[in-house]
Amino acid sequence: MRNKQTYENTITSKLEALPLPDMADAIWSRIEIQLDTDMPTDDSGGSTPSPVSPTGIGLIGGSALFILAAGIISFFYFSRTDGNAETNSIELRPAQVDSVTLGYGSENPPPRNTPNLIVPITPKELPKDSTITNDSSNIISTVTIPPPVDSSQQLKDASITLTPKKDTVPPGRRSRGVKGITDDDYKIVPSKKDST
Amino acid sequence: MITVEHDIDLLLEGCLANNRRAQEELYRQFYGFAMTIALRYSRDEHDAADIMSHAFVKVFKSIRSYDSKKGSLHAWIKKIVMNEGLDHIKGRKRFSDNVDVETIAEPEVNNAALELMGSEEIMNIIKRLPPATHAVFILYAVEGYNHREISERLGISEGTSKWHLSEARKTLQQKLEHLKNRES
Repeated sequence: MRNKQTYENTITSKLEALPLPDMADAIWSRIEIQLDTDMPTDDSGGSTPSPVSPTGIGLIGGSALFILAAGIISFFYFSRTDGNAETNSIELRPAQVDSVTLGYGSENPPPRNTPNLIVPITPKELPKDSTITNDSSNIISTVTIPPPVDSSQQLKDASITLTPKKDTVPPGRRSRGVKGITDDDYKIVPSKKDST
Repeated sequence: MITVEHDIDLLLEGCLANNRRAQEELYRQFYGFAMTIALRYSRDEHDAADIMSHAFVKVFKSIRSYDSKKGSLHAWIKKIVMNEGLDHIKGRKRFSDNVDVETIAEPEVNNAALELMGSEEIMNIIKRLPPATHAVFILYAVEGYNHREISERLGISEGTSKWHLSEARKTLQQKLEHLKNRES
């Protein structure tokens, strides 16, 4: 800072005497809009301070509440999951039906490119309470379809839907080579020369 | 005076709690003071309104950084409004250091003629100055800063600051001469 010259003091005093524009309300509206965006408040002008203040106590309290709520939610979630374990096993049974229709055991599906994959499946009309035994000799295991659960009509429908169609042609074992060609066709016979 | 200080303390408490009523009350108490500063850095009322709104949003956002032991609330708000005003002027045109500092004249300003002018006439001359010249003249002649302080604030050299002040004085002197001739 420095000492001002006379003309500078004159200008300063003149500028301080400038009439003020009557824009206080308009400017406050703009400020308020900006504050509502950047610093929203719950009390909307009330005299009490905002309940969540960014003080250390507020942050610690908020964190503690969050951890407590997370603990309660996870406790109820896991306890509910354990109680549903048995019902889940029942619901998973239709998966065995799938495996039967595909022709291999339910627990250990055969590796790929094995003959079991191309075993023909003879579709049958299955009585609901019966044991399914596949006709093919290549089938390793038989699987018993559990009796349908009364409460899951939908599962019964699923098992019916998954049975192969009757008009499905079983693929059978592929014959090797080209049809109609025998070993005789590969014999080399010297051609007869014309003895003319 | 004690009551006013007490009121301001209460308003500050409310502003710290993000209370809109307290914020509005504080704004209205400082409106005249802040608007006088904002007008110096603006070309018209709308510029001044822009400066005011930005400055007061900053005031309320950073109210926690105000320390009454370091200075008065007036001084703190004045600093914020002034900085906002300078930012506003800088936004109008990029400040250039490309001036001929070798030929800086120091024209005298006729104070007697200046005394005869009205506030708005003087303000009209100042706000028609180029942005950088406007900023330097206000900081030097009105706020009382020296050229080193101005160069630091505006990011220009001291020579450039002197050149802008010279240009402002020249313009002011020409206007005063014109006024004098018109009256005589």
